[in-house]
Amino acid sequence: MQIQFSEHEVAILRMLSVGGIAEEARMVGLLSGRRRLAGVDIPQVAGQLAEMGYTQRVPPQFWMITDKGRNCLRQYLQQEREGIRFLLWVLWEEFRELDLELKQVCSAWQIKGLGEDSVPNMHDDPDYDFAVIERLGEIDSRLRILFSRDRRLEREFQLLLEELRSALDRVEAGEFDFFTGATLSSYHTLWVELHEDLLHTLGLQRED
Amino acid sequence: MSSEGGNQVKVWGGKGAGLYTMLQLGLPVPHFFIIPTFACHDYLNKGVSFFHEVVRPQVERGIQDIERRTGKGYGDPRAPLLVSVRSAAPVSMPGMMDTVLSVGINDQVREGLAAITGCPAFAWDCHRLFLEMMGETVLKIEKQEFEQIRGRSQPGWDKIVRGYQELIAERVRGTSFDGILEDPYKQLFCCVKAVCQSWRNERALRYRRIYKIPEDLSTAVVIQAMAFGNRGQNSGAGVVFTRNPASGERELVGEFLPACQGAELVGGAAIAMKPGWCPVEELPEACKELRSACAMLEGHFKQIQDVEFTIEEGRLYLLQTRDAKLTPLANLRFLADAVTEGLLSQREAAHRLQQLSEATLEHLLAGEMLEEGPETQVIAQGQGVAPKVATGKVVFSPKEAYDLASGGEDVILVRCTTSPNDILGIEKALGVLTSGGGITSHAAIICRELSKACVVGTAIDIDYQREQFIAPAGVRVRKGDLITVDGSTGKVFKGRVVARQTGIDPRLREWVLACRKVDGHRT
Repeated sequence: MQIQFSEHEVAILRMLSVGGIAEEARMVGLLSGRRRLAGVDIPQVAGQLAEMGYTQRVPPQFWMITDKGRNCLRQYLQQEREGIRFLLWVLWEEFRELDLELKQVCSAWQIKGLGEDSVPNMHDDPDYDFAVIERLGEIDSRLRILFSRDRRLEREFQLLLEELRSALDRVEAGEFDFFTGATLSSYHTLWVELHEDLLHTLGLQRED
Repeated sequence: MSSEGGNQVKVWGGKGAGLYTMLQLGLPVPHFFIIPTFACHDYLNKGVSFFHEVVRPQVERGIQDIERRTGKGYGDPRAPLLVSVRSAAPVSMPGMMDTVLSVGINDQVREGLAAITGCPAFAWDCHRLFLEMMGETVLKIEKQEFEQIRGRSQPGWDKIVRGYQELIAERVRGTSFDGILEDPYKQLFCCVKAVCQSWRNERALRYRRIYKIPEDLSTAVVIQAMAFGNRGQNSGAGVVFTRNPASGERELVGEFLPACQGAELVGGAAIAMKPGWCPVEELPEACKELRSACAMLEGHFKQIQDVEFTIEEGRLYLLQTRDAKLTPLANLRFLADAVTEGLLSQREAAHRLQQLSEATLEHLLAGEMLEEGPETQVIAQGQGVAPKVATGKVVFSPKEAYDLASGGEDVILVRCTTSPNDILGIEKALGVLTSGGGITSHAAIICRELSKACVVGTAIDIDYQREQFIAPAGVRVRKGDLITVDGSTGKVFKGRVVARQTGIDPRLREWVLACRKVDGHRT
């Protein structure tokens, strides 16, 4: 059976797929700031998805993805990307390496040092922060190189890559919440969604 | 920089104003002159004709002045004067902008330098350094190209320098840079222009965009007689902090590399700072002078200083001083000690304390450590994700964490590994404990972002079905049991463990609280 989702529906399902369940305000906060979703009534689209059994409204104010929703998202992504799945397998290991680096960079943004010696990064040292932002920029460039190897890959992931670019732009404009912020479409939030997307497309389970 | 230096900094840049102050204090500084920020600004906006009409004559006059003071001649093989051309921005932008050392060297000057110093290796080293730095800064030759030449050359600086010269000659042929290998003045003008232009390099632009630094400030350019740290084992380059920049303790902390130039030291990936030790103990005279200079600079700027210096054949030269980057603790300690030492008045110190952000101060004051006693029981040890402590009832599912926490309970979510999929539970729990996972996992990043106490990698044996876990120490913990997790030390305790304030020592705590009382609006 062919499943059809709109771009907006995929964005909502993918976001819900990461956390499983989200407060409506958080869901709207995460999604409404994205360019392609500007002006879209997120709860209304989530409601339409609920009518088809892909999501569920949990009182008082939550939305969760159902098993059917998760399976169908997975099926849809695999079906849509049938022609490029082999390309994704090729880049998967490299993506995992980048993922590891991204996690280190995000940690370096939040804390200085690791373990007992770690202290929260109070963002009072511009040079330290700038060096971390530069590392994020390098990771972003390498991610783009990875996805620019094939036109089809680039096209398929254009939206997520654009969103990541926009988060990086905001970090580079001094809006630092867009680095690792958990309640807005930060670079880290979007990266986790990209990761989730790849896991679904390749039929893999999350390890962390 | 001190307030009196405020205007100087705008015109001469931080580095220039620092040099000027050191000169006024009678400290040993190599002769220098400065192209002010507004001149570089005008050059960048009005173009090369402005450079030739206004900047170039200033540079020529400045060089003549240094020649007169040093008795050396720029481009003169009989008494060669080499200079450094360094950027000096009015706001700190370390590593963003360019510097070229040993400007004014060609084959004849190198030979002269070798003859005068009796040290050909030193002269070749200067030439090599100039070609690399000029090549990268002025001609935009990639570092790797120089590295390749070094890699395939026969041993010896002479072979490498010849290789560099061939590369550069080929690159500049038919361009406006033609002749730069031979003509010392062409070298100087090109370097000054390139250093001015480095204000607009991509990294600097990005830095200014992030930190909202106005674009129209521009940089100053410091042109200074070279002090040679690479003249042998009695020479070298170093950096020194006038006190420990991590703890604020009153001890010199620094690094000194014998037989090397400053660029190679500060350009390195990381300097291994050694506390409690004079960086140049092997050279007692210079060491004594350095200690006294450090005290003088600290007394003048009333702030811990980060000082760059070079020692040429046992003689100390100071090249730069700036306010050191300090940890909040060091900052606090310095302020408190400075009052005791009479360096600052209580009022001045209280005012400076105000400049520390409220969040930073709160963090210092709220630092906490668990009071371990005979009655406390550590049941597991893992890795702390973020310095935060929490006590709560154990739950095993994110949904349950959410439900209980929504009902006002303090809960600790226990999972095999953390996952972004647990975010709802993480959001509501006070703490998170996992058997596996790492401190840089996506979930750890989310935990930190949400200020959760989180300990990972404890190797506890979780049984989701029975809703219990067995800790490596053999202790069984069931759903609803109280545990305490310390995200700083990675320790997990049975029951509630009282946290004790320890972030800073009591003397500093008292001092901060006293300052805050004086400064009424912050109490």
